[in-house]
Amino acid sequence: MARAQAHTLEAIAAALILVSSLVFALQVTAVTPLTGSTSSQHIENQQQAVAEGLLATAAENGTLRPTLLYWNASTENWNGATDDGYVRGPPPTDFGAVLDDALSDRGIAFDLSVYYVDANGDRQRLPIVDLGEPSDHASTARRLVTLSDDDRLRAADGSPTADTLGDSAYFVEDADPDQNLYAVVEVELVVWRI
Amino acid sequence: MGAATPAPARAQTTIDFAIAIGLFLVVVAFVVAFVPTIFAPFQSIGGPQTADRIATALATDRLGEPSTPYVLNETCTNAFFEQLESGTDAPTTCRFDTTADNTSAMFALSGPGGVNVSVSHLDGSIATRPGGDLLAGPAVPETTSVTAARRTVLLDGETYRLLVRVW
Repeated sequence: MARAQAHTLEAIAAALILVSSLVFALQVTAVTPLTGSTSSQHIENQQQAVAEGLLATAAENGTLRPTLLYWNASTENWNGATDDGYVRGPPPTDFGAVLDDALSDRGIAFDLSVYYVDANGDRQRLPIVDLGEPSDHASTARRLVTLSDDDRLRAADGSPTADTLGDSAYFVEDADPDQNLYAVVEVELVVWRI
Repeated sequence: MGAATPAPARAQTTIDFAIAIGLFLVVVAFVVAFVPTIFAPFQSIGGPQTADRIATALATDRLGEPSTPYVLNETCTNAFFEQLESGTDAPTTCRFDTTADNTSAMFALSGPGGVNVSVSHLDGSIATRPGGDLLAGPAVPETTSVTAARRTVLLDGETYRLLVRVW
């Protein structure tokens, strides 16, 4: 032993000090770019913009409202949906097909729900598509949709029925019985990477 | 080092010293090489911001109207890609730079990088216009880091995907 191996031990000690100071510096920093996450801010921004664009384009080409009218007045639920809404994918409407192509096919899960104000003035949420609990890095887009008394509910095959909102059982009450306005509801699309 | 061989009490000093210095240098080299990689993601923030800015500008303003974001004007969108391909100036009523002949000039980018803009169907195939594809800019390099930004846009009543790639 004696002096010789002391050189090696000294080097090992010096190396340990160097490495442990590096580890310490990494641990005391709250968030570094290496912090574990399955998503990054950039991807969240992109998904948020994509969700906003989906709602904007659907509202513009008139496919958003038929999905809201895809309602069965006798069962008082969406056509063929469970009590939690559609849980296996979007409804078979035009907007649903776009959601399928733009999100599901790219490995993005989403929840689509509608918010409305009930007769007591409370804000209520009704799920349309429920594909699970959003993760911590989900993004949200919202859009207001105006419904009128003479909007026709859609049958299971998507065609307009004879039932209008004004004289059917719908999830939201007629906000203004005197005029053609039925209600203003807020559609919310939450997207997250699986 | 038994008592029978009284000779070296100092062992192989040279070898031990060489091992020590070698070990020390390896660790120092590792630390010096590792520290910059911790900060690297902070330094390359330019790509995502540029891609995001261009995609937002195109989808919500330049190719359509700011009052109806994500709804593109068909005439201006076709003219945009036509102009970048052949140099034919777009109508001056369009909201983008109707004289720029390449994507770098269009988006006022300096430096060696490039921008590639495309509009595709939701299934991924590139959309077409009269006389070509809705695709502009140089080919995307395969050896450097490329940042992509996506938007969903409406063009002629149908939903398309706008993809901007910056490098």
